[in-house]
Amino acid sequence: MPGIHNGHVHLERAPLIELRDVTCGYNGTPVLHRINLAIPEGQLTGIVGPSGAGKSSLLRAILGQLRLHQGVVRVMGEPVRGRPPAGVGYVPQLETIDWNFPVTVEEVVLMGRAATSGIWPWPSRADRRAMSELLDRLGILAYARRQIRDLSGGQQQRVFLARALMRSPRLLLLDEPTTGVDIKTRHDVLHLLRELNDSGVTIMLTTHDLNAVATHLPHVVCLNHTVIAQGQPSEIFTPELLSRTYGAEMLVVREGSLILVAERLTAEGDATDDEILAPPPAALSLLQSVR
Amino acid sequence: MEILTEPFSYAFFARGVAASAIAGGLCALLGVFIILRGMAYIGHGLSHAIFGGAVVSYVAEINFYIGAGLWGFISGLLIHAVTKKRQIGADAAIGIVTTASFAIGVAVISRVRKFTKNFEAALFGNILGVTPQDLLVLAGVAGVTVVAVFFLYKQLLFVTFDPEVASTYGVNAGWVDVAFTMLLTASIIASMQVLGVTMIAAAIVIPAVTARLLTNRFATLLWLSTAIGTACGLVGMYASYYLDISSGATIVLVATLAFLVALVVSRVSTLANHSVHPAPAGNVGALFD
Repeated sequence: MPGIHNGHVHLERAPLIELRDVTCGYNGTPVLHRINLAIPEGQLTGIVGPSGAGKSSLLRAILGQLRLHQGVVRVMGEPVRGRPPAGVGYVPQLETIDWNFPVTVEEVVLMGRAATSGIWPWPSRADRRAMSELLDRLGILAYARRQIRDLSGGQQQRVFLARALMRSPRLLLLDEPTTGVDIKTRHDVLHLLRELNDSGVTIMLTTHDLNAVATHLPHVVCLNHTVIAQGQPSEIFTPELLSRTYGAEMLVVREGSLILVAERLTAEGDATDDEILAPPPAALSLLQSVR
Repeated sequence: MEILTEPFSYAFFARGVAASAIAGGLCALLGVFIILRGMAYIGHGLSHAIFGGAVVSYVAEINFYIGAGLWGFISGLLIHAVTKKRQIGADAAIGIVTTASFAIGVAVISRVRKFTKNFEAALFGNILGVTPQDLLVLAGVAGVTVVAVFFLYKQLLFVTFDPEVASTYGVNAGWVDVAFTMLLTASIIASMQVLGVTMIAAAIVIPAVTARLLTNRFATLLWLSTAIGTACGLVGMYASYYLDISSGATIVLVATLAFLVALVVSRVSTLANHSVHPAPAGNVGALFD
Protein backbone atom coordinates (compact mmCIF):
# COMPACT_ATOMS: atom_id res chain seq x y z
CA MET A 1 0.00 0.00 0.00
CA PRO A 2 1.84 3.06 -1.21
CA GLY A 3 -0.52 5.33 0.64
CA ILE A 4 1.17 4.39 3.88
CA HIS A 5 4.06 6.66 2.98
CA ASN A 6 1.79 9.60 3.56
CA GLY A 7 1.83 8.89 7.24
CA HIS A 8 5.60 9.23 7.48
CA VAL A 9 5.87 12.67 6.00
CA HIS A 10 7.03 15.27 8.44
CA LEU A 11 5.69 18.69 7.80
CA GLU A 12 8.95 20.47 8.46
CA ARG A 13 10.76 18.49 5.78
CA ALA A 14 11.08 20.17 2.41
CA PRO A 15 8.89 18.53 -0.24
CA LEU A 16 10.66 16.55 -2.96
CA ILE A 17 8.90 18.53 -5.68
CA GLU A 18 7.78 22.06 -5.08
CA LEU A 19 6.20 24.46 -7.54
CA ARG A 20 5.52 27.93 -6.30
CA ASP A 21 3.30 30.24 -8.31
CA VAL A 22 4.58 28.73 -11.57
CA THR A 23 3.37 30.11 -14.87
CA CYS A 24 4.95 28.74 -18.01
CA GLY A 25 4.23 27.77 -21.60
CA TYR A 26 5.42 27.87 -25.18
CA ASN A 27 6.34 30.99 -27.13
CA GLY A 28 4.85 33.27 -24.53
CA THR A 29 1.45 31.51 -24.43
CA PRO A 30 1.01 30.16 -20.91
CA VAL A 31 -0.11 26.53 -20.62
CA LEU A 32 0.23 26.36 -16.86
CA HIS A 33 -1.07 29.21 -14.79
CA ARG A 34 -0.01 29.97 -11.21
CA ILE A 35 0.63 26.39 -10.20
CA ASN A 36 1.29 25.67 -6.54
CA LEU A 37 2.20 22.11 -5.73
CA ALA A 38 4.17 20.34 -3.02
CA ILE A 39 4.83 16.62 -3.36
CA PRO A 40 6.45 14.92 -0.37
CA GLU A 41 9.09 12.22 -0.76
CA GLY A 42 7.65 8.73 -1.19
CA GLN A 43 4.41 9.88 -2.80
CA LEU A 44 2.80 8.19 -5.80
CA THR A 45 0.95 10.92 -7.64
CA GLY A 46 -1.24 10.87 -10.71
CA ILE A 47 -1.88 13.97 -12.79
CA VAL A 48 -5.26 13.90 -14.51
CA GLY A 49 -7.02 16.35 -16.75
CA PRO A 50 -8.32 16.72 -20.30
CA SER A 51 -6.08 16.78 -23.37
CA GLY A 52 -4.23 20.05 -23.60
CA ALA A 53 -4.65 20.73 -19.87
CA GLY A 54 -0.88 20.89 -19.44
CA LYS A 55 -0.18 17.46 -17.91
CA SER A 56 2.94 16.85 -19.97
CA SER A 57 3.95 20.47 -19.60
CA LEU A 58 3.84 20.08 -15.83
CA LEU A 59 6.35 17.22 -16.08
CA ARG A 60 8.50 19.22 -18.47
CA ALA A 61 8.47 22.17 -16.06
CA ILE A 62 9.67 19.90 -13.27
CA LEU A 63 12.41 18.63 -15.61
CA GLY A 64 13.51 22.17 -16.38
CA GLN A 65 12.61 21.86 -20.07
CA LEU A 66 10.18 24.76 -20.07
CA ARG A 67 11.14 28.36 -19.52
CA LEU A 68 9.20 29.69 -16.54
CA HIS A 69 7.45 33.00 -17.00
CA GLN A 70 6.99 33.28 -13.30
CA GLY A 71 7.54 31.35 -10.09
CA VAL A 72 10.05 28.73 -9.06
CA VAL A 73 10.36 24.95 -9.38
CA ARG A 74 12.38 23.07 -6.77
CA VAL A 75 13.31 19.42 -6.92
CA MET A 76 15.02 17.91 -3.88
CA GLY A 77 15.26 21.40 -2.49
CA GLU A 78 17.25 22.74 -5.45
CA PRO A 79 15.80 25.26 -7.90
CA VAL A 80 15.62 23.60 -11.34
CA ARG A 81 17.44 25.51 -14.05
CA GLY A 82 17.69 23.84 -17.44
CA ARG A 83 18.01 20.34 -16.10
CA PRO A 84 16.87 18.45 -13.01
CA PRO A 85 19.18 17.03 -10.35
CA ALA A 86 20.87 13.68 -10.99
CA GLY A 87 18.39 11.50 -9.09
CA VAL A 88 15.50 12.10 -11.48
CA GLY A 89 14.33 9.52 -14.03
CA TYR A 90 11.99 10.39 -16.86
CA VAL A 91 9.96 8.09 -19.10
CA PRO A 92 8.59 10.00 -22.09
CA GLN A 93 5.32 9.25 -23.82
CA LEU A 94 5.84 6.26 -26.11
CA GLU A 95 4.41 8.08 -29.09
CA THR A 96 7.25 10.62 -28.98
CA ILE A 97 9.81 7.87 -29.63
CA ASP A 98 11.26 7.37 -33.10
CA TRP A 99 10.65 3.62 -33.39
CA ASN A 100 12.48 3.32 -36.68
CA PHE A 101 15.69 4.51 -35.10
CA PRO A 102 18.35 1.79 -35.41
CA VAL A 103 18.96 1.09 -31.73
CA THR A 104 18.64 -2.09 -29.77
CA VAL A 105 17.06 -2.47 -26.35
CA GLU A 106 20.43 -2.54 -24.60
CA GLU A 107 21.66 0.53 -26.47
CA VAL A 108 18.60 2.47 -25.28
CA VAL A 109 18.88 1.29 -21.67
CA LEU A 110 22.58 2.18 -21.53
CA MET A 111 21.69 5.76 -22.53
CA GLY A 112 20.55 6.14 -18.93
CA ARG A 113 24.21 6.34 -17.99
CA ALA A 114 25.46 8.23 -21.06
CA ALA A 115 26.51 11.27 -19.08
CA THR A 116 28.15 9.47 -16.20
CA SER A 117 29.90 6.40 -17.55
CA GLY A 118 33.24 7.78 -18.64
CA ILE A 119 34.77 8.60 -22.00
CA TRP A 120 34.89 5.22 -23.72
CA PRO A 121 32.15 4.51 -26.22
CA TRP A 122 31.50 1.05 -24.84
CA PRO A 123 29.72 0.47 -21.50
CA SER A 124 31.68 -0.29 -18.36
CA ARG A 125 31.37 -3.67 -16.71
CA ALA A 126 29.30 -2.10 -13.91
CA ASP A 127 26.94 -0.52 -16.45
CA ARG A 128 26.51 -3.84 -18.23
CA ARG A 129 25.77 -5.61 -14.97
CA ALA A 130 23.26 -2.98 -13.89
CA MET A 131 21.59 -3.20 -17.29
CA SER A 132 21.31 -6.99 -17.25
CA GLU A 133 19.89 -6.96 -13.73
CA LEU A 134 17.28 -4.38 -14.66
CA LEU A 135 16.26 -6.11 -17.87
CA ASP A 136 16.00 -9.37 -15.99
CA ARG A 137 13.91 -7.78 -13.25
CA LEU A 138 11.59 -6.24 -15.82
CA GLY A 139 11.34 -9.50 -17.75
CA ILE A 140 12.83 -8.25 -21.02
CA LEU A 141 16.37 -9.63 -20.82
CA ALA A 142 15.65 -12.02 -23.68
CA TYR A 143 15.02 -9.07 -26.00
CA ALA A 144 18.21 -7.16 -25.18
CA ARG A 145 19.55 -7.32 -28.72
CA ARG A 146 16.32 -6.59 -30.53
CA GLN A 147 15.64 -3.38 -32.34
CA ILE A 148 13.16 -1.36 -30.26
CA ARG A 149 10.35 -1.55 -32.80
CA ASP A 150 10.45 -5.31 -32.68
CA LEU A 151 8.73 -5.44 -29.25
CA SER A 152 5.21 -5.30 -27.87
CA GLY A 153 3.85 -2.09 -26.35
CA GLY A 154 4.37 -3.33 -22.81
CA GLN A 155 7.93 -4.40 -23.52
CA GLN A 156 8.64 -1.03 -25.11
CA GLN A 157 7.31 0.73 -22.03
CA ARG A 158 9.60 -1.36 -19.86
CA VAL A 159 12.64 -0.54 -22.00
CA PHE A 160 12.22 3.14 -21.31
CA LEU A 161 11.43 2.49 -17.67
CA ALA A 162 14.69 0.52 -17.49
CA ARG A 163 16.57 3.44 -19.02
CA ALA A 164 15.18 5.71 -16.29
CA LEU A 165 15.99 3.18 -13.57
CA MET A 166 19.62 3.01 -14.75
CA ARG A 167 19.96 6.32 -12.95
CA SER A 168 18.82 4.82 -9.62
CA PRO A 169 16.28 7.63 -9.35
CA ARG A 170 14.79 9.07 -6.18
CA LEU A 171 12.10 10.62 -8.32
CA LEU A 172 10.52 9.03 -11.37
CA LEU A 173 8.36 11.00 -13.79
CA LEU A 174 6.29 9.14 -16.36
CA ASP A 175 4.28 10.67 -19.17
CA GLU A 176 1.18 8.56 -19.95
CA PRO A 177 2.79 5.21 -19.06
CA THR A 178 -0.47 3.31 -19.57
CA THR A 179 -1.54 4.82 -22.86
CA GLY A 180 -1.54 2.57 -25.89
CA VAL A 181 -0.95 -0.65 -23.98
CA ASP A 182 -3.33 -3.52 -23.36
CA ILE A 183 -5.08 -4.23 -20.05
CA LYS A 184 -2.57 -6.78 -18.84
CA THR A 185 0.35 -4.49 -19.58
CA ARG A 186 -1.37 -1.62 -17.83
CA HIS A 187 -1.82 -3.82 -14.81
CA ASP A 188 1.83 -4.93 -14.95
CA VAL A 189 3.11 -1.38 -15.30
CA LEU A 190 1.05 -0.14 -12.36
CA HIS A 191 2.14 -3.10 -10.27
CA LEU A 192 5.76 -2.39 -11.10
CA LEU A 193 5.39 1.28 -10.21
CA ARG A 194 3.82 0.35 -6.86
CA GLU A 195 6.77 -1.92 -6.13
CA LEU A 196 9.19 0.86 -6.95
CA ASN A 197 7.19 3.26 -4.84
CA ASP A 198 7.24 0.80 -1.93
CA SER A 199 11.02 0.68 -2.21
CA GLY A 200 11.06 4.43 -1.63
CA VAL A 201 10.98 5.97 -5.12
CA THR A 202 8.74 9.02 -5.42
CA ILE A 203 6.62 8.70 -8.55
CA MET A 204 4.59 11.13 -10.58
CA LEU A 205 2.70 10.06 -13.67
CA THR A 206 0.22 11.62 -16.02
CA THR A 207 -2.83 9.69 -17.17
CA HIS A 208 -6.10 10.29 -18.94
CA ASP A 209 -7.51 7.03 -17.66
CA LEU A 210 -9.54 7.87 -14.57
CA ASN A 211 -11.16 4.51 -13.94
CA ALA A 212 -8.37 2.05 -14.60
CA VAL A 213 -5.48 4.14 -13.32
CA ALA A 214 -6.25 7.29 -11.38
CA THR A 215 -8.82 5.82 -8.96
CA HIS A 216 -6.21 3.27 -7.87
CA LEU A 217 -3.55 5.85 -6.99
CA PRO A 218 -3.08 7.17 -3.46
CA HIS A 219 -2.76 10.79 -4.56
CA VAL A 220 -4.19 12.61 -7.56
CA VAL A 221 -3.86 16.14 -8.90
CA CYS A 222 -6.68 17.42 -11.12
CA LEU A 223 -5.20 19.80 -13.64
CA ASN A 224 -6.71 22.11 -16.18
CA HIS A 225 -4.08 24.79 -16.80
CA THR A 226 -4.08 25.25 -13.05
CA VAL A 227 -4.54 22.91 -10.11
CA ILE A 228 -8.29 22.35 -9.64
CA ALA A 229 -7.98 19.89 -6.75
CA GLN A 230 -5.58 17.43 -5.19
CA GLY A 231 -5.86 14.63 -2.67
CA GLN A 232 -7.04 11.04 -2.45
CA PRO A 233 -9.34 10.00 -5.30
CA SER A 234 -12.06 9.12 -2.77
CA GLU A 235 -11.99 12.74 -1.58
CA ILE A 236 -11.62 14.69 -4.76
CA PHE A 237 -13.38 12.56 -7.37
CA THR A 238 -16.68 14.34 -6.94
CA PRO A 239 -18.98 15.30 -9.81
CA GLU A 240 -18.39 18.95 -9.03
CA LEU A 241 -14.57 18.88 -9.06
CA LEU A 242 -14.30 16.54 -12.03
CA SER A 243 -16.79 18.58 -14.05
CA ARG A 244 -14.67 21.64 -13.36
CA THR A 245 -11.54 19.76 -14.39
CA TYR A 246 -12.93 18.39 -17.63
CA GLY A 247 -15.34 21.13 -18.52
CA ALA A 248 -18.05 18.52 -19.05
CA GLU A 249 -20.67 17.09 -16.78
CA MET A 250 -19.30 14.05 -14.99
CA LEU A 251 -20.94 11.20 -13.12
CA VAL A 252 -19.30 9.55 -10.14
CA VAL A 253 -20.60 6.23 -8.87
CA ARG A 254 -19.36 4.84 -5.58
CA GLU A 255 -19.79 1.24 -4.58
CA GLY A 256 -17.92 0.57 -1.37
CA SER A 257 -14.31 1.47 -2.07
CA LEU A 258 -14.92 1.30 -5.82
CA ILE A 259 -15.18 4.59 -7.67
CA LEU A 260 -16.40 4.77 -11.21
CA VAL A 261 -16.36 7.94 -13.25
CA ALA A 262 -18.18 8.56 -16.49
CA GLU A 263 -19.15 11.45 -18.65
CA ARG A 264 -22.86 12.17 -18.60
CA LEU A 265 -24.06 11.93 -22.17
CA THR A 266 -26.41 14.76 -22.88
CA ALA A 267 -29.33 14.47 -25.26
CA GLU A 268 -27.66 16.80 -27.74
CA GLY A 269 -24.65 14.52 -27.72
CA ASP A 270 -22.19 17.23 -26.75
CA ALA A 271 -18.94 16.81 -28.61
CA THR A 272 -16.69 16.62 -25.60
CA ASP A 273 -13.27 15.09 -25.40
CA ASP A 274 -13.92 11.39 -25.74
CA GLU A 275 -10.32 10.64 -24.93
CA ILE A 276 -11.01 11.61 -21.30
CA LEU A 277 -12.57 8.39 -20.37
CA ALA A 278 -13.90 5.65 -22.43
CA PRO A 279 -15.16 3.31 -19.72
CA PRO A 280 -14.71 -0.31 -20.71
CA PRO A 281 -17.96 -2.11 -21.60
CA ALA A 282 -17.88 -3.94 -18.27
CA ALA A 283 -17.75 -0.64 -16.43
CA LEU A 284 -20.65 0.71 -18.43
CA SER A 285 -22.86 -2.24 -17.65
CA LEU A 286 -21.85 -1.98 -14.00
CA LEU A 287 -22.82 1.67 -14.11
CA GLN A 288 -26.20 0.79 -15.52
CA SER A 289 -26.82 -1.92 -12.94
CA VAL A 290 -25.87 0.42 -10.11
CA ARG A 291 -28.24 3.04 -11.36
CA MET B 1 45.64 -5.65 -62.25
CA GLU B 2 47.17 -3.07 -64.52
CA ILE B 3 43.82 -1.33 -64.71
CA LEU B 4 44.12 -0.64 -61.01
CA THR B 5 47.80 0.32 -60.87
CA GLU B 6 48.28 2.16 -64.16
CA PRO B 7 46.68 5.47 -63.14
CA PHE B 8 48.93 5.63 -60.10
CA SER B 9 51.85 6.60 -62.32
CA TYR B 10 50.28 10.04 -62.18
CA ALA B 11 50.81 11.78 -58.86
CA PHE B 12 47.56 13.70 -59.22
CA PHE B 13 45.67 10.43 -59.46
CA ALA B 14 47.23 9.00 -56.32
CA ARG B 15 46.25 12.15 -54.45
CA GLY B 16 42.81 12.10 -56.01
CA VAL B 17 42.18 8.50 -54.97
CA ALA B 18 43.28 9.16 -51.41
CA ALA B 19 41.21 12.35 -51.24
CA SER B 20 38.02 10.83 -52.67
CA ALA B 21 38.25 7.78 -50.42
CA ILE B 22 38.73 9.94 -47.32
CA ALA B 23 36.08 12.48 -48.33
CA GLY B 24 33.61 9.72 -49.19
CA GLY B 25 34.09 7.99 -45.85
CA LEU B 26 34.07 11.22 -43.85
CA CYS B 27 30.81 12.52 -45.35
CA ALA B 28 29.22 9.09 -44.96
CA LEU B 29 30.15 8.86 -41.27
CA LEU B 30 28.55 12.20 -40.41
CA GLY B 31 25.69 11.37 -42.76
CA VAL B 32 24.45 8.71 -40.33
CA PHE B 33 23.61 11.33 -37.70
CA ILE B 34 22.10 13.60 -40.32
CA ILE B 35 19.68 11.09 -41.84
CA LEU B 36 18.60 9.85 -38.42
CA ARG B 37 17.67 13.36 -37.36
CA GLY B 38 15.84 13.92 -40.62
CA MET B 39 18.16 16.80 -41.48
CA ALA B 40 19.28 15.81 -44.97
CA TYR B 41 18.82 19.38 -46.11
CA ILE B 42 21.60 20.59 -43.82
CA GLY B 43 24.29 19.07 -46.04
CA HIS B 44 22.79 20.70 -49.09
CA GLY B 45 22.26 24.04 -47.37
CA LEU B 46 25.61 24.15 -45.66
CA SER B 47 27.61 23.32 -48.78
CA HIS B 48 25.87 26.06 -50.73
CA ALA B 49 26.32 28.55 -47.91
CA ILE B 50 30.00 27.69 -47.68
CA PHE B 51 30.42 28.34 -51.39
CA GLY B 52 29.57 31.99 -50.77
CA GLY B 53 32.08 32.12 -47.95
CA ALA B 54 34.73 30.49 -50.10
CA VAL B 55 34.36 32.98 -52.94
CA VAL B 56 34.30 35.99 -50.63
CA SER B 57 37.37 34.85 -48.76
CA TYR B 58 39.14 34.25 -52.10
CA VAL B 59 38.39 37.75 -53.31
CA ALA B 60 39.20 39.32 -49.96
CA GLU B 61 42.42 37.29 -49.94
CA ILE B 62 41.68 35.61 -46.65
CA ASN B 63 42.84 32.03 -46.24
CA PHE B 64 40.20 29.79 -47.85
CA TYR B 65 39.94 27.45 -44.89
CA ILE B 66 39.56 30.22 -42.32
CA GLY B 67 37.15 32.36 -44.32
CA ALA B 68 34.93 29.56 -45.56
CA GLY B 69 35.19 27.83 -42.19
CA LEU B 70 33.89 30.77 -40.18
CA TRP B 71 31.17 31.49 -42.75
CA GLY B 72 30.08 27.86 -42.79
CA PHE B 73 30.16 27.45 -39.02
CA ILE B 74 27.95 30.48 -38.49
CA SER B 75 25.56 29.26 -41.21
CA GLY B 76 25.47 25.83 -39.58
CA LEU B 77 24.59 27.26 -36.17
CA LEU B 78 21.91 29.42 -37.78
CA ILE B 79 20.39 26.40 -39.53
CA HIS B 80 20.41 24.51 -36.24
CA ALA B 81 18.79 27.38 -34.36
CA VAL B 82 16.08 27.81 -36.98
CA THR B 83 15.39 24.06 -37.01
CA LYS B 84 15.01 23.95 -33.24
CA LYS B 85 12.29 26.59 -33.21
CA ARG B 86 10.17 24.26 -35.30
CA GLN B 87 8.07 27.11 -36.48
CA ILE B 88 6.26 26.98 -39.77
CA GLY B 89 8.56 28.00 -42.56
CA ALA B 90 11.79 26.94 -40.89
CA ASP B 91 12.86 25.05 -43.99
CA ALA B 92 12.02 28.05 -46.12
CA ALA B 93 14.13 30.29 -43.86
CA ILE B 94 17.04 27.89 -44.22
CA GLY B 95 16.56 27.86 -47.99
CA ILE B 96 16.65 31.64 -48.10
CA VAL B 97 19.78 32.01 -45.96
CA THR B 98 21.81 29.32 -47.70
CA THR B 99 20.75 30.17 -51.24
CA ALA B 100 21.38 33.85 -50.62
CA SER B 101 24.85 32.94 -49.43
CA PHE B 102 25.35 30.86 -52.58
CA ALA B 103 24.07 33.76 -54.70
CA ILE B 104 26.61 36.08 -53.11
CA GLY B 105 29.30 33.70 -54.27
CA VAL B 106 27.92 33.55 -57.82
CA ALA B 107 27.51 37.34 -57.92
CA VAL B 108 31.09 37.95 -56.83
CA ILE B 109 32.39 35.44 -59.37
CA SER B 110 30.50 37.02 -62.25
CA ARG B 111 32.09 40.37 -61.38
CA VAL B 112 35.60 39.00 -60.97
CA ARG B 113 35.88 36.79 -64.00
CA LYS B 114 39.39 35.57 -63.55
CA PHE B 115 38.65 32.28 -61.80
CA THR B 116 35.99 30.47 -63.81
CA LYS B 117 38.15 27.36 -63.67
CA ASN B 118 38.09 27.19 -59.84
CA PHE B 119 34.42 28.02 -59.91
CA GLU B 120 33.64 24.90 -61.88
CA ALA B 121 35.85 22.80 -59.63
CA ALA B 122 34.07 24.08 -56.55
CA LEU B 123 30.67 23.30 -58.01
CA PHE B 124 31.31 19.89 -59.45
CA GLY B 125 34.54 18.66 -57.92
CA ASN B 126 37.87 18.32 -59.66
CA ILE B 127 40.55 15.81 -58.82
CA LEU B 128 43.18 17.73 -60.75
CA GLY B 129 42.80 20.49 -58.23
CA VAL B 130 43.71 18.41 -55.19
CA THR B 131 47.02 19.75 -53.88
CA PRO B 132 49.15 18.01 -51.25
CA GLN B 133 47.98 20.69 -48.83
CA ASP B 134 44.31 19.95 -49.56
CA LEU B 135 44.95 16.28 -48.94
CA LEU B 136 46.68 17.04 -45.66
CA VAL B 137 43.76 19.18 -44.45
CA LEU B 138 41.27 16.51 -45.49
CA ALA B 139 43.19 13.80 -43.65
CA GLY B 140 43.45 16.05 -40.59
CA VAL B 141 39.72 16.80 -40.53
CA ALA B 142 38.92 13.10 -41.01
CA GLY B 143 41.23 12.16 -38.15
CA VAL B 144 39.73 14.71 -35.77
CA THR B 145 36.20 13.66 -36.76
CA VAL B 146 36.84 9.97 -36.15
CA VAL B 147 38.38 10.70 -32.73
CA ALA B 148 35.51 13.04 -31.82
CA VAL B 149 32.83 10.56 -32.87
CA PHE B 150 34.64 7.85 -30.92
CA PHE B 151 34.76 9.80 -27.67
CA LEU B 152 31.37 11.48 -28.09
CA TYR B 153 29.72 8.25 -29.25
CA LYS B 154 27.29 7.86 -26.34
CA GLN B 155 26.37 11.51 -26.24
CA LEU B 156 25.90 11.70 -30.02
CA LEU B 157 23.73 8.58 -30.01
CA PHE B 158 21.53 9.88 -27.19
CA VAL B 159 21.17 13.38 -28.61
CA THR B 160 20.40 12.02 -32.09
CA PHE B 161 17.83 9.60 -30.71
CA ASP B 162 16.09 11.83 -28.21
CA PRO B 163 17.55 15.31 -27.67
CA GLU B 164 15.11 16.38 -24.97
CA VAL B 165 15.51 13.36 -22.72
CA ALA B 166 19.26 13.45 -23.33
CA SER B 167 19.45 16.90 -21.82
CA THR B 168 17.32 15.94 -18.81
CA TYR B 169 19.70 13.00 -18.29
CA GLY B 170 22.71 15.26 -18.00
CA VAL B 171 23.99 15.18 -21.58
CA ASN B 172 24.81 18.68 -22.76
CA ALA B 173 22.75 18.50 -25.95
CA GLY B 174 23.50 22.09 -26.96
CA TRP B 175 27.22 21.53 -26.77
CA VAL B 176 27.01 18.25 -28.67
CA ASP B 177 25.08 20.05 -31.44
CA VAL B 178 27.72 22.77 -31.65
CA ALA B 179 30.52 20.21 -31.80
CA PHE B 180 28.71 18.28 -34.51
CA THR B 181 28.09 21.42 -36.57
CA MET B 182 31.81 22.25 -36.36
CA LEU B 183 32.77 18.78 -37.56
CA LEU B 184 30.24 18.90 -40.38
CA THR B 185 31.35 22.34 -41.55
CA ALA B 186 35.02 21.34 -41.50
CA SER B 187 34.23 18.13 -43.38
CA ILE B 188 32.24 19.87 -46.08
CA ILE B 189 34.96 22.46 -46.61
CA ALA B 190 37.68 19.84 -46.77
CA SER B 191 35.65 17.68 -49.18
CA MET B 192 34.60 20.49 -51.48
CA GLN B 193 37.58 20.18 -53.83
CA VAL B 194 36.93 16.53 -54.48
CA LEU B 195 33.17 16.27 -54.46
CA GLY B 196 31.99 19.74 -55.36
CA VAL B 197 29.31 21.86 -53.70
CA THR B 198 26.47 20.31 -55.65
CA MET B 199 27.45 16.70 -54.96
CA ILE B 200 28.33 16.86 -51.25
CA ALA B 201 24.76 16.54 -50.00
CA ALA B 202 24.42 13.25 -51.88
CA ALA B 203 27.75 11.95 -50.58
CA ILE B 204 26.49 12.63 -47.05
CA VAL B 205 23.07 11.08 -47.41
CA ILE B 206 23.32 8.14 -49.83
CA PRO B 207 25.89 5.90 -48.05
CA ALA B 208 24.10 6.38 -44.70
CA VAL B 209 20.70 5.52 -46.16
CA THR B 210 22.24 2.55 -47.95
CA ALA B 211 23.79 1.23 -44.74
CA ARG B 212 20.51 1.85 -42.91
CA LEU B 213 18.85 -0.63 -45.26
CA LEU B 214 21.27 -3.30 -44.18
CA THR B 215 21.39 -2.96 -40.38
CA ASN B 216 19.30 -2.11 -37.32
CA ARG B 217 22.28 -1.57 -35.00
CA PHE B 218 23.63 1.90 -34.48
CA ALA B 219 27.30 0.96 -34.07
CA THR B 220 27.17 -1.23 -37.18
CA LEU B 221 25.47 1.54 -39.08
CA LEU B 222 28.33 3.94 -38.33
CA TRP B 223 31.16 1.80 -39.66
CA LEU B 224 29.12 0.32 -42.50
CA SER B 225 28.14 3.75 -43.79
CA THR B 226 31.78 4.89 -43.57
CA ALA B 227 32.92 1.79 -45.44
CA ILE B 228 30.33 2.29 -48.18
CA GLY B 229 31.28 5.95 -48.52
CA THR B 230 34.97 5.09 -48.78
CA ALA B 231 34.35 2.37 -51.34
CA CYS B 232 32.17 4.67 -53.43
CA GLY B 233 34.94 7.26 -53.34
CA LEU B 234 37.49 4.73 -54.58
CA VAL B 235 35.32 3.16 -57.28
CA GLY B 236 33.98 6.54 -58.36
CA MET B 237 37.52 7.82 -58.74
CA TYR B 238 38.51 5.02 -61.09
CA ALA B 239 35.32 5.49 -63.07
CA SER B 240 36.10 9.17 -63.31
CA TYR B 241 39.59 8.42 -64.68
CA TYR B 242 38.57 5.83 -67.23
CA LEU B 243 35.31 7.37 -68.38
CA ASP B 244 36.64 10.90 -68.22
CA ILE B 245 33.68 12.14 -66.16
CA SER B 246 33.74 14.67 -63.32
CA SER B 247 34.79 12.88 -60.11
CA GLY B 248 31.97 14.30 -57.96
CA ALA B 249 29.41 12.93 -60.41
CA THR B 250 30.93 9.46 -60.68
CA ILE B 251 31.23 9.10 -56.89
CA VAL B 252 27.57 10.03 -56.42
CA LEU B 253 26.47 7.75 -59.26
CA VAL B 254 28.40 4.82 -57.81
CA ALA B 255 26.80 5.52 -54.42
CA THR B 256 23.37 5.58 -56.04
CA LEU B 257 24.09 2.22 -57.63
CA ALA B 258 25.13 0.83 -54.23
CA PHE B 259 21.89 2.16 -52.76
CA LEU B 260 19.79 0.41 -55.39
CA VAL B 261 21.64 -2.87 -54.80
CA ALA B 262 21.08 -2.53 -51.03
CA LEU B 263 17.43 -1.77 -51.62
CA VAL B 264 16.98 -4.98 -53.58
CA VAL B 265 18.99 -7.00 -51.05
CA SER B 266 17.00 -5.69 -48.07
CA ARG B 267 13.69 -6.23 -49.83
CA VAL B 268 14.62 -9.79 -50.68
CA SER B 269 15.83 -10.55 -47.15
CA THR B 270 12.71 -8.96 -45.66
CA LEU B 271 10.58 -11.20 -47.81
CA ALA B 272 12.69 -14.22 -46.90
CA ASN B 273 12.44 -13.35 -43.20
CA HIS B 274 8.73 -12.89 -43.47
CA SER B 275 8.10 -16.60 -43.97
CA VAL B 276 10.09 -17.48 -40.82
CA HIS B 277 9.63 -14.37 -38.69
CA PRO B 278 6.39 -12.47 -38.21
CA ALA B 279 8.10 -9.11 -37.71
CA PRO B 280 9.99 -7.64 -40.66
CA ALA B 281 13.46 -6.47 -39.70
CA GLY B 282 13.83 -3.73 -42.27
CA ASN B 283 11.86 -0.53 -42.31
CA VAL B 284 12.67 0.77 -45.72
CA GLY B 285 9.51 2.77 -46.10
CA ALA B 286 10.27 5.02 -43.17
CA LEU B 287 13.36 6.37 -44.90
CA PHE B 288 11.31 7.86 -47.66
CA ASP B 289 8.79 9.66 -45.48
